[in-house]
Amino acid sequence: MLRILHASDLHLTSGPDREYGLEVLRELVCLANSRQADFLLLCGDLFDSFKDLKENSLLNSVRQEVQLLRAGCRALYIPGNHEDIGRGPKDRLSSFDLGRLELMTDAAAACGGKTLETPEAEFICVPHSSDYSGYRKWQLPPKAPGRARLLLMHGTSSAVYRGPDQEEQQAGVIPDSLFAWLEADYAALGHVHSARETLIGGTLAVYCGSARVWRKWEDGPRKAVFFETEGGKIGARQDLFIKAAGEYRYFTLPVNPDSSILPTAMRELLEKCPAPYRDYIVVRFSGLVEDANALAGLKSVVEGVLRAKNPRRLELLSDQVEIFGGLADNALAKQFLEKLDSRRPAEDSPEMPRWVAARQQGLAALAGDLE
Amino acid sequence: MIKKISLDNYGKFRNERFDFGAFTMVYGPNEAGKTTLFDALFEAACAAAPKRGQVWARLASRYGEDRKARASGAVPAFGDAVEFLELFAIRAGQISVDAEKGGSWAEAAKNSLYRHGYNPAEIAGKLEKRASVSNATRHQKNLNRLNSDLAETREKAALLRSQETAIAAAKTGLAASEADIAALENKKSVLAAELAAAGGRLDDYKKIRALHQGLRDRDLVAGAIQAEKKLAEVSGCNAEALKEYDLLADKIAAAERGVAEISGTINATLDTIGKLDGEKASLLESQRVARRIADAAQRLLPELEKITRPGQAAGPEPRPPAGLRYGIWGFGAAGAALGLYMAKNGPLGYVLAAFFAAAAVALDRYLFRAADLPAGLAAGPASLAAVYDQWVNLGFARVDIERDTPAGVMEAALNLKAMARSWDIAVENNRKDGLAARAALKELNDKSITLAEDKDACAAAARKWLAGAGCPDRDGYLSRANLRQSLAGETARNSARIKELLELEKCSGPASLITLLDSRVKELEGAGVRVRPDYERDMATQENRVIALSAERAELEEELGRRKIERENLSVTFNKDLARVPETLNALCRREYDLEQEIAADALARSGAELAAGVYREIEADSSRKFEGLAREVGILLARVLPLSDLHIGSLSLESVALKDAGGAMRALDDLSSGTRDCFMLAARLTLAAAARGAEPGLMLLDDPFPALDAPRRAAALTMLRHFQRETGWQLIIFTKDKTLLAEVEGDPQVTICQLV
Repeated sequence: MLRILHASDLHLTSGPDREYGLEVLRELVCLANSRQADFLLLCGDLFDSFKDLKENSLLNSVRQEVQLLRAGCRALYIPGNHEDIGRGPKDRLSSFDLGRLELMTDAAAACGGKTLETPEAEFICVPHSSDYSGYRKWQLPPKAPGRARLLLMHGTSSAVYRGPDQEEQQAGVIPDSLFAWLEADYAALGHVHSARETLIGGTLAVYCGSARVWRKWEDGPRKAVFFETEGGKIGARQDLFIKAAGEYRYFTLPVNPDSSILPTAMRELLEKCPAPYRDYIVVRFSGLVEDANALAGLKSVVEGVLRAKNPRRLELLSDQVEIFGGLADNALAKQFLEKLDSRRPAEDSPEMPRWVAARQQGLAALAGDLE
Repeated sequence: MIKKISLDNYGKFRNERFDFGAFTMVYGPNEAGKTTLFDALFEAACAAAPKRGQVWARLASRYGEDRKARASGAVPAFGDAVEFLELFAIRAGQISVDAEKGGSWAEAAKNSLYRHGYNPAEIAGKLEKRASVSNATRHQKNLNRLNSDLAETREKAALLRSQETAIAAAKTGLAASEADIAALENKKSVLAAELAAAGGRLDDYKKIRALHQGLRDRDLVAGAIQAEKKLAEVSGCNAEALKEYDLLADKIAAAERGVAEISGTINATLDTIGKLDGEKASLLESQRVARRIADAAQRLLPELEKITRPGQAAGPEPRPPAGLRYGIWGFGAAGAALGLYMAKNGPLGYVLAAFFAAAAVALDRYLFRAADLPAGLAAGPASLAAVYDQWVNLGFARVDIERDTPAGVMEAALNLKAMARSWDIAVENNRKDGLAARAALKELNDKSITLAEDKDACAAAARKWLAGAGCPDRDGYLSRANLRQSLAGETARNSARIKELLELEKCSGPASLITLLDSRVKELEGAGVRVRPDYERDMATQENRVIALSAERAELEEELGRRKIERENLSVTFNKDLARVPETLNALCRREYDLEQEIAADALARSGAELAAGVYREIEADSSRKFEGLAREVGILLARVLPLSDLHIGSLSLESVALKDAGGAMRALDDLSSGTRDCFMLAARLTLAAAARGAEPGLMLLDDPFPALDAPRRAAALTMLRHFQRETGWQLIIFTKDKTLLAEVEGDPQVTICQLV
């Protein structure tokens, strides 16, 4: 039996998020140790860029963190598209001392990675490539019966995820038929930051999601996927949440025409961020307001309140606020908002988006510029 | 309440001041400045209004930019100039609400009162249109297009997915092809290794062959050099010259043969002589016996003659002449001589000689022996016995002469007597034969000696010849001649190869060539190459193996090439058709996602619009309800001034107001007299204004409001206004040019009168 922890996209950086990333890595190592994991799979984008990798003190810290892995646990690492950023033609990952991190291939290598065979599982580790179409020519050993085949890849699989690329950098597209072709039992995938899984033929393709919050819209708790293999079968998965990663939290704050906000909405917002010091908070104001200056004032007030909670990152967006002069005194607008506010659903209610849309649409219709 | 207004450079007023009360009547004839004062009050009331519309522009054009109107007192403020004109100002002949926007006055009033210048129903309509699923709407058209795009995208994606599935399905074929190729490659590498090994062994054999060749060539060249030397030595010997010798040898042989033949004849002659000598003794013995017998028979003869025929003496038998006998002997001798002579040329001569000698002896014997026998004795029967006895007494056997008759005995005795004679002849013949034979023998011996001398001469010549050629014997010469011939042949045979070698190795001569070949051989031997007796067989085997392996490899490569092309074709098909599938599929999935998002956003917007429309509809319903409440208030107000019965006001619209006329008939407002209608409108306007202003202090400007009213109705209207003023506390300012109206309020302390001149 093998115990495996699948994680991805830590985007460790030497920038402002340096400590945050290292804390996430530390918790990941702790999770692997607490579960007595035999393998920790790091499926690409461990570093945010090649430049970060070259940064000595960061690499030292990473080595130190990984050194804390229990003796029986191996950390298999494949490079992702981010390890290619800023990588010179002669730069090679293999020239760095990664400590207990086992680089399963070099980012400079051509398609087709390293294969690791153990009595119970075989790991096909594929480095990131912008083109995976040559997979039919990969030289792989025949699959041994009774042994689980695990595929480590970094890229976009439209069979699993078809939304917009959450990263700015495009990664290689993994063909749907690749999984069946390689006869993988479990595809440990990296690159897509929102966790999801799909059964493609006989392959369970799993994006465990980014282990940290790297960009906006990466909502939900960050996690790593833990599972066991027994006799070539993949056991039940268990999501291990990474507390150190915090969360991405997004709020819509409806603004009244006079640039005031509903006290309930603000209260709710504050209740949702009890300890936001690791969180990435984005507040989007929405509505029509009379006066841009008043809106700016509102923003600074809200920012002040939220900053006091010391979140990891805070962004206030007002792109959905329209300025419409005269609206504040408009009795009908007041009447409309009064009536609509009386129907405001809870912040996390599924009706909330509809309510926000009705507010926007109603005011826009009043202002005469209904879309 | 506006207590005072100062006008500076305002229309006709340069610097005027007017005072107002709660109920003020401004009187003045035409062109006295009533309208100017009206506008000044309006401007003062709406000075702070954010919404002024076109009204302000009209004031500016009418009175100029430098006009000044300063109001004092608690000036009520109005936010909307247009609304003020619609709700709080009544112009002469315009008692009905002036719906600037083209709606009915009631609708305009409703808008002003409860919708604040907007039409919730209209907004709800717009929102409902936004939420509508009718294909006529722009949004729905867009949505339909999005949905159609989405369906198309999904269809394309499904097609691509099926292609992807086809790849997975085709994997087996390609994998088999790959496996075949790998197996063939493996086989090829094994074969290549085998071929390399075989080639290596073949090279070893080639080295051995080179060694052999080198050795052979070296030996060849060395042999050639040696042969050349030998050839020089034996160059004088040749088979042609040997004929000379052979002639001598022939002569020797002929002489030897002649000697042999003669020797044979000599032997035969010696034999004959020996035989004759042997016979001679026997003949002499027989002659002696015969003579004894003949003597004895002679003794008997007289007796016998007596017995047989006295007187008749028995004479001897007739005999062949003696000359014949000599002739036979001569003939035999002559023949033998001839034979001996012939014997020089061959052995037949000896045979002939022997034959003639034997024939002469035999013939002599045959013809002359009987005559030699002694004659028999004859005796008469009477005395036969005596004869017999006498015979026996003589020492002979009775039987020799015993016959039946005395004649017979006589004959026998005669015969016996004659027999001695024949023995004599025989002895004589024998003597003669012996002599003849001895003569022949001598002759033969002479001849033999001659021949031996000839032979010796020839042998000496032959020896001399051989000595001249330097050979011990003919075989020696012959072998040397043969050696020369074979050397010449060998040299001729080798010269081509040597020439070839000389040219090949670029050597000036055999000596340098042999040095070169020698060094090469040594080099090869130094490299461990050793001579192997069976290398050619092994090398041929190896060559065959290399050829077989090469053929096998070629076949394998052909097969491999074919398989690779097959695989390449398969891959090309895959790649050509499907290389971009993942990206395309991904792009389609993104597009699908984007479309879904867009459709979802549209659905959300539609749903939001629906919700908002509901809210506006609710607002609309609220305002309508409120507006209907106003209708009742208008009725109460109107009832105070008009003695009307059965007033029926359904809602505040002209169409729904009906009154019972003086004749008792129910008539719609439009069908009533203008005075009645004006009263209704005044009541409605006051009610609406009060409702619009709410609790705030109000101001109403009435510019010549009752032009169509008769005196009683005018008084009633005035009463209604004063009631209204008292009840609401509003400031009412009435502008009129009607003196009778002024007269009605003159003296009333609660009415402020302002007269314009």
